[in-house]
Amino acid sequence: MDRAALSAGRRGSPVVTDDPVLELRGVRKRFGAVQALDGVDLRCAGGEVHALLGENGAGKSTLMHVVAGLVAPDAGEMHLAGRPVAWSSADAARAAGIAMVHQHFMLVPTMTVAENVALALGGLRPFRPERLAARVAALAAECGLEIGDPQRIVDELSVGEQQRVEILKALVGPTRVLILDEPTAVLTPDEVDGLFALLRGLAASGTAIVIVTHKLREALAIAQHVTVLRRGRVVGRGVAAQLDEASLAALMVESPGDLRGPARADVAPEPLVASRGAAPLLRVRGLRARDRRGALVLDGVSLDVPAGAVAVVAGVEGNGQTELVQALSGVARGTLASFEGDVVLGEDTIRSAADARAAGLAVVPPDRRRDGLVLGLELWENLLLAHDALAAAASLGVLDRRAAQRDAARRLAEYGVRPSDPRAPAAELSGGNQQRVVLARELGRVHLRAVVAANPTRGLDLVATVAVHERLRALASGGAAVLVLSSDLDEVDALAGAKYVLYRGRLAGPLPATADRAELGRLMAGVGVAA
Amino acid sequence: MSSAARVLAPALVAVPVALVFAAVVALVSGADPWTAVRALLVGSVGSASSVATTLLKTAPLLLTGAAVMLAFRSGVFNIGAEGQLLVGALAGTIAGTAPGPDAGRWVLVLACGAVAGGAWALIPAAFRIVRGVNEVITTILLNFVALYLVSYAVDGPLQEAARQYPQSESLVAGAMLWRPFAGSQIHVGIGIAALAAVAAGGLLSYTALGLRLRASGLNASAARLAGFPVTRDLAVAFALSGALAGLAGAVEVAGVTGRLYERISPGYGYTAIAIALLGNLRTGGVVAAALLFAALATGATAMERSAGVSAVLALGVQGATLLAIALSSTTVLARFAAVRTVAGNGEEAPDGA
Repeated sequence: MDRAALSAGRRGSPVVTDDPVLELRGVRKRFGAVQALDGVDLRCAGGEVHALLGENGAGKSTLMHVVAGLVAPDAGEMHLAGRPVAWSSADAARAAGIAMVHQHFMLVPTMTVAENVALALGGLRPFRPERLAARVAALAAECGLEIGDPQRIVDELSVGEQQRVEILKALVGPTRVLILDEPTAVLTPDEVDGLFALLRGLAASGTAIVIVTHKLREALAIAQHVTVLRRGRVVGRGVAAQLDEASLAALMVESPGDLRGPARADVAPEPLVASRGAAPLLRVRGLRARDRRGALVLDGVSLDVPAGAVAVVAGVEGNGQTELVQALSGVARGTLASFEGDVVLGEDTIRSAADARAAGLAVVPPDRRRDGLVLGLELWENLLLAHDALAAAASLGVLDRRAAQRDAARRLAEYGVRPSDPRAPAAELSGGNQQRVVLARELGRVHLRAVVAANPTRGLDLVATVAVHERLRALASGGAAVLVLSSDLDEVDALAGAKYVLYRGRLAGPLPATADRAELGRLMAGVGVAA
Repeated sequence: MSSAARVLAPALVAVPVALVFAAVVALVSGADPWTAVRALLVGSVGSASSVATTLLKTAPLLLTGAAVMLAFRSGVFNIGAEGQLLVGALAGTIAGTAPGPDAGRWVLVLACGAVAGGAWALIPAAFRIVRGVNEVITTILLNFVALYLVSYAVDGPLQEAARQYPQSESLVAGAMLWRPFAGSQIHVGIGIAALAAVAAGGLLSYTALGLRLRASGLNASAARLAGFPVTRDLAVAFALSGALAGLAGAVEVAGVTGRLYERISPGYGYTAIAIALLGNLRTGGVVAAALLFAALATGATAMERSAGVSAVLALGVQGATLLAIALSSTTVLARFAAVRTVAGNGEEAPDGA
């Protein structure tokens, strides 16, 4: 650990040889009682990749929204290529060459991929769909992004595919500053490598790149400079080459004692793999499913998860993850064009979502805003979005609102949701906090025998991620069958369960305990697998 | 701005706007603006009898407004309150004119109206559930079917024995709603309407079914994953909404007209959509908006009588007021609310994920 490389506060910015393309001085922004940004300075030179690190609520997204013209700062200066600027709108920022890839996608779900990209291209000239599609396909190839058929409707794409479209959108048009908010969460390791190669290429051509992330490993791999925010202030900055993960992690959290378990890489978690011959609690047999386009999205998926064990299905969105969760949670028959196979939890066959809930299944869906929450409802109401929990909260059909809200306040506090007011609408929460609400509801179920969780820690910071992994492992230790789908190899390692890989609807595994990250990464990308 | 104020604001803002429009309409038609404005005010709420008339018009507007509120908050775009009201009036008339015991017949009338309205609404529900047909289209089309059904009934099987006018026989005495004040048309149906509207709001906010309906309406995908019976709840939402509108028809027949005829509704079920939206889809707001529209309709008649403004123009005040409120509530009020939310709500998340 090289503490000397980190200088606290505003003193001693690292030497940047070029003039900064983007420079922020003393940016402040207040939302109600929360000082989201409290005098933040940031310098990013052309040709530089700058990583912005911090916990949930540290102010990273707010700062980037200021740069992209989405949020007007209360105070502070912004300079673009040496000239002072103040954005009247996001369009003004975009026209000046600032592009942002958002954590939550800004796509029109009912339009095709090509049409969405065309929106970013601008212009009012009429176009022929095929020619536009060809042009978008060429652009994607040029950027090294796999987006599939550009004529597909965005709503039909997986989260991962949608994100690739977002990145493509940001790369069209003049781009002096490219901001990426949590860009790697849904990419395979290979795709992350590809993205980083692409970013390095862009940087080499003079673009300033700011990448917002929780993943220290990636930040250190791609960035030249690092800035760490905590509660709206810069608490450290430095040159990536002189930093390591431990020192950054210590800076990001307020009390380094919170960093337990997998965050301290020296302690390997005890594997939670059931002994040979243990009776499976969650049994999945021969799942085959086609989506509305007729594509085979699950191709004979079978696996067993015994009580007390953790199974991890590695893989990237778009390879059957969404459909596997639908099948396990009992909604596949209503949402997929065709579906066959059996899901059994204990003695209960799961044919509907009500069956799944009655059998004691907790579900953390891959898309929390689409399936996990009702954004227009208040938090306490969202915590009742499970058939059995809602029935338990009512007597003769009438809700005990006060008791439900009291219970909600306790659970929201337990999972560190901010705001913790149970009457707050779910729509007002940041992405990480929305994920916490889903986790609070599902992992806190009274009747819980099995968990199916897709990317359960997406958008969560380091401390919360560790806490969720510990909670999942604790549930397994308590006798539950835990199945986690993840695209994050760190998560696969941290959960230390039986390893599977889902690629193009086919499940490989369980892999031998000796399978390492490189092998998992290859399987997730389909290398060495007959398509 | 408290939530109650936010719900009631559009309806309250509408009052001065309506008065200004009334003055403008009077000027345009060559009448004295002051006389017109006074006629609108006095004619709607200025005397015991005008208040009574306003309350009488409020009952069907409140019931249909609550019907639309319940539907919209459950994700059901029921534009068919008019048709459900007419079918309710038809069923209520059949129950109220059929031979049989007299005592307590009004209960049967109201029950038949509600059941018929609910059943009528289950037709578009079935279309949506089985074939995925958008209920906006089916409910509108069924309004015409209902209208012609009433038209056929009063010109055919239900026509009065005298066969003089296209109207039904009078309801039997026991089928009429109780009028507590001698010499006034005020009937107990107004109270029933208020109770039903409060019950609809209470159902949405205070019951497990209400939470399921709202969850399914806002995000069916999440509701399905929660294990809620989404399809059954959808049918329930259609049926409850239709029942409220059908009750409105029965109340109108048993409380005011005493018989069925073709033009029994001056478009209550369509005004109801404006009322529900103006009332922010909340019970308090719907009550305020229903009172406002009833007062405007009553006052418009008075304007014609006292100020010589054509009733057509006077009714135009309603439309103009609604447009002005719609404009202000989506721009000025929404902006005001947004500013207040950002500035006044300390719990607002600064989106720092």
